[in-house]
Amino acid sequence: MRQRSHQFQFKPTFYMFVIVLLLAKVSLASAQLQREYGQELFQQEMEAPTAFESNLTIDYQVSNIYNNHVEFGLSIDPNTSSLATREDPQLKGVINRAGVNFQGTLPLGKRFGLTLQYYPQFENYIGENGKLNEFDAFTDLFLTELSFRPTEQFPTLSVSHQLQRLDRNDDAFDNLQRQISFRFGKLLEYNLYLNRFDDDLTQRADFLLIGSTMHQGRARIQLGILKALLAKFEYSVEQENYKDNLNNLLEGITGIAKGESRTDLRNLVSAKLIQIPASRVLLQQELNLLLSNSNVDFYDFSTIEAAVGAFYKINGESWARLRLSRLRINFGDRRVRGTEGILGANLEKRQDNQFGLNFQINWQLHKYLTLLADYQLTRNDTNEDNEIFEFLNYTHNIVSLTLQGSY
Amino acid sequence: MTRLWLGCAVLVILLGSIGFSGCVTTFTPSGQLQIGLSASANETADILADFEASEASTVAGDVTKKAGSICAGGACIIY
Repeated sequence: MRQRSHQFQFKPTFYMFVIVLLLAKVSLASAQLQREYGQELFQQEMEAPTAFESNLTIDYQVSNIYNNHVEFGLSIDPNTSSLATREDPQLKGVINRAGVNFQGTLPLGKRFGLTLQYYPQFENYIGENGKLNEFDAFTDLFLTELSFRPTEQFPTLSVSHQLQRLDRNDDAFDNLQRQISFRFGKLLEYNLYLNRFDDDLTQRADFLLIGSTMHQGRARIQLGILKALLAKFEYSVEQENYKDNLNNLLEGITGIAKGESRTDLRNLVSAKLIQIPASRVLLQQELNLLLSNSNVDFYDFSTIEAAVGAFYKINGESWARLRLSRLRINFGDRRVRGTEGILGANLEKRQDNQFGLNFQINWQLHKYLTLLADYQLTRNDTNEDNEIFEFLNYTHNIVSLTLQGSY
Repeated sequence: MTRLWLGCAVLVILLGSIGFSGCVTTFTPSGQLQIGLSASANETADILADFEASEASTVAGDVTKKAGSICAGGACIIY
């Protein structure tokens, strides 16, 4: 009885094994027949996907920005600016900005792609009884980028050339910036920046109005620590060499010898820790260090910044973002003047402390239309007691609304 | 030049250490080199991509981008 049971169990197993073998044999034979009789010729050959797809996008942006310290980042040239004679250095104004970004990518074979971009933008300054009109500007940006992607798993290798023309009402600002870049994904990049002013003969009182050449190298790496925990590291090194059309005032203040040119070497290290506690929430902590060494000691400084941020994805293209930061700037060779305004080697070195807040909300109004509201607050405190530096104890507010369309 | 060679040596040692440590090294869709110490963070890629896109090309901590000068009341100050 036991034997019969074994035989009974053995038979179905044996038949199953034979059926599987036969099916496999038939399948192989069928494949061979298909090849031999050329049936694959009737089937459409599956092509490997191209690394780049052709596309054309047209984006437009319209922004309105209120800025209560328009002068930061600009230069009020005493020789040309009507604003130089004011008693109060603080300038308040509204900047209206409008631009259209045309961008197209064309595949060249399976592995290469060519990207072309043209982005004209207009800036209109309103405020200070019309005196801010000298900053009204038109910028043109033209980019050509050739990219190569050897495989799907490999990042893109690209080389690009960018030209940006800035034309303000005040001709002292007019310049042409050229940028040549080599990139390997986001892992490594090298950028060469050439900034040339139309007028490079007039002696200027500010390095923002003087041409320069900058070499920049950058490396980034990302560390996946846990499923929802990432660390990012970035190192950047820059060498910037400035032209020497400086006036006596600047040479006197900074201690630059006649005919000497300024060269800065900057090292920037950044570490970020990102957590994703929920599918819509992202948190970030960051630490940024900058060390700037110049052959002109006046421009030696270091900064350390700690920041925390939170990002919330509402839906689709809608999101909100908050960033709080604390920054300390230590100047290597600048001494505080004290209340009497006397300079001395034994005096304390200048140090600034900044608190920053940035809140952004991006709202998708329509499939092709988004509205971005942005608020930036910077509170700066300096250890300078002299009243001429009182403007450095400032609260900087920038509020902007940007309507962005994309086709 | 010595600094450049030193930098290259550090990079080679770093990449070598990563290679021999057994960590999973991959490139993310955005072209970032990611070293996975444990579980993959691929599931978080969507929100991460949105977050990265929202970050403007900031120059965190780089006050040189805000440098300038102010001339007022007959005096010019470089800040």
